[in-house]
Amino acid sequence: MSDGLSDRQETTKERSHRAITVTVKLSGFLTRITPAGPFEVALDTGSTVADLVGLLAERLGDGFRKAVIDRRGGLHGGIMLVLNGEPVPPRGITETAIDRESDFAIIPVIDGG
Amino acid sequence: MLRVDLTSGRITVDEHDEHFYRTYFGGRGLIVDYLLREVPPGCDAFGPDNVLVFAASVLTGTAIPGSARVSAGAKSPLTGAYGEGEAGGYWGVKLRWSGYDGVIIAGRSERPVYLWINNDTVELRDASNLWGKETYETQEAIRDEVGDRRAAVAVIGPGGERLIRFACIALGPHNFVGRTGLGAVMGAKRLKAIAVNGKTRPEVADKQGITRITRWLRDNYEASLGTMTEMGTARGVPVLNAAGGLPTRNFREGSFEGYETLSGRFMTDTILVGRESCYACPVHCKRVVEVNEDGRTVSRRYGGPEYETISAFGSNCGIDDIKVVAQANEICDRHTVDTISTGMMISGALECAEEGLLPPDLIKGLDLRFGSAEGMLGLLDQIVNRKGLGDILGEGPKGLEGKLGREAASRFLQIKGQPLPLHEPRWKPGMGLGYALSPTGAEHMANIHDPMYASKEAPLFREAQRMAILEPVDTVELTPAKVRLWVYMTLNKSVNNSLCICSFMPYGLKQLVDQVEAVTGWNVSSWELLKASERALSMARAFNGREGFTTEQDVLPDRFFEPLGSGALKGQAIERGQFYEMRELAYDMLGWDRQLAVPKRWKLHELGVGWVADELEKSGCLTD
Repeated sequence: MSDGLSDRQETTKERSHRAITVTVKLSGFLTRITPAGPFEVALDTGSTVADLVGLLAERLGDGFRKAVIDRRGGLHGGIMLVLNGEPVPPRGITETAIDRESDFAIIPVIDGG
Repeated sequence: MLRVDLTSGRITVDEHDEHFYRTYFGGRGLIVDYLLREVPPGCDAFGPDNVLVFAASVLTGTAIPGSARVSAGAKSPLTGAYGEGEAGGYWGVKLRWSGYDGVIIAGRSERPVYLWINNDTVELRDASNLWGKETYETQEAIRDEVGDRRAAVAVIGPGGERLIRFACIALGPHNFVGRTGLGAVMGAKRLKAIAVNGKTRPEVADKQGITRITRWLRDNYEASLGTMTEMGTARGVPVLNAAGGLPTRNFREGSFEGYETLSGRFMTDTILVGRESCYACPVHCKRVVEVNEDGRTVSRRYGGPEYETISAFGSNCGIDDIKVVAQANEICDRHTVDTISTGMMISGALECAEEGLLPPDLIKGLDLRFGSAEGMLGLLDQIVNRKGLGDILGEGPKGLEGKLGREAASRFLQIKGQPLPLHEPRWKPGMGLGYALSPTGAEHMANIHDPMYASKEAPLFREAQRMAILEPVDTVELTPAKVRLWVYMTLNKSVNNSLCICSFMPYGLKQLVDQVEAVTGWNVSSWELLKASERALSMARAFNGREGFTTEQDVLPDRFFEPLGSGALKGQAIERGQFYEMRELAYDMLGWDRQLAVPKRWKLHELGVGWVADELEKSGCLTD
């Protein structure tokens, strides 16, 4: 995947130290195609936001993947990621490391123009 | 405020004191003050008594990112109500650099003219040689004629001259005051253009404060707007589609099989050749596209389509070819017609044709089927040239019942005569409530996108919390909590309108207060800005009351009380009784009369504009 989501497993192994728990919350229409309510995911420390999204795409299936990941393997433009209350800039998802117990949210951004 | 009487050719300046500007700050408030005082109730929108007002704000022309917008307003020929639109670019900036906060255009010229504002020198010039020219060539010809290549030129193309009731005004080749037909008002006044340049930047009270704001924006915009830079406003098309809220085939469905090739990503990968911005903005959300294949040519001159245009000519007409959409966009821009209204008029006609509701002789030679690019473009050509069925549609949705019959007219989705923007009310019922209650007819800018407040992590929920909305409100619910959210956040977003600030900027009220203080030195508060936005909204509603509008026009089209036909929200409908019950609650929360739908006397006094109540009383539309 062009935005680094496909490289998740290898990257995770390379950086593997210990497992941390990330509480994932999905919003909006995503809750209709995924488990309702927040759920926990175990992740190796040093994993990035891109790693986490890739892991979720594997676990949550095609409906989630199509809704969040575009045809080039990057995030859809209308998807916003929030880590511990702060938005993750789109260009930063492969660099932003998750190094502690964290809250992570995926939010469809539905505006217009 | 520069005042131009086109009937007499007289040019004067209206001076106002600080109290006036601090009452309104700019935008809608300035406009509607003038309209209430100067436009006679019941006047012909195309007549000399209508007044067209361009209004900047106290922030326009400063270095604050997102402050390049300007509003225009008049009695709308499309709705007969308060008409208003906004656009960015450079025109409003140059207007303020010339020393003016706005321009008031009254009367009607006997021959085509244009206005040239060159710092302190203002003159009306003959535009007979420009009449009939399209947008770009008009702008170029005027820059040549005045000998200033840096002049910003607001123009109308043939659409405005031909009085198409949804004609718009081009503030540049890429920036359009799109809605409510203000380009047709310019056409009726025979005002082809307003060219402007100035060299005097507005003084600011706190230059370091402005620098801090600019740095804050540069440090913070990417997290929320990064994909806006990369993909533009069409970034959300796949998400809208997955959510079941992508208007499809005239809002009958919420999901379109060809969505992917209409996405911002696809446009970026295929026809995008550049990105442009308004003055002092780092986001560069404006698209520049070029097409030269499959027999289609789209010039980069007019930029490229935004989300609304892509949905209007794309999914809502059943078309999945971004090149065709770009071509439709360019045709609209060349002629200055609003892409939202034009696309919606065409999708309404496609549905009528599918159901056999149009007279055969009227559609002869047109392939009016959803998905037919040539059919869509053929009807678009008829509209901009006012031929055949296009001539009828160019009059807008009002009055179609008499020309095409009641059943056909109902397929043209509109509120107060203005076609709907491309946001699905069955998914966003708060937006639907706003459509019904906006003084300009169906309108999406000073309105809410329900999903943006539906969780604690949602992008605008933090701002909602600062407005005392302490819990998220579910997207599809239509409850008193949603009405409260709509009222508070519509007033919040309307502050952007008063300050002529771009709605895409991630500013909350806190940042806007800082901006006004840094520019003016006034010790303002969020409360003061919110009251200015409520004042402007209430006065626009009062203008409509004076024109005879009541609750009868604050309605949603029947379509949205019927189940959505496809997509993730298939079967979703708004419950009619619930919608109108919530509308009553919104009237109450805003201090509006439940029958006359205008602000009550006490509310106008509370907002400090008791004179508006006297105006309403004179017109017999005030009960207490």
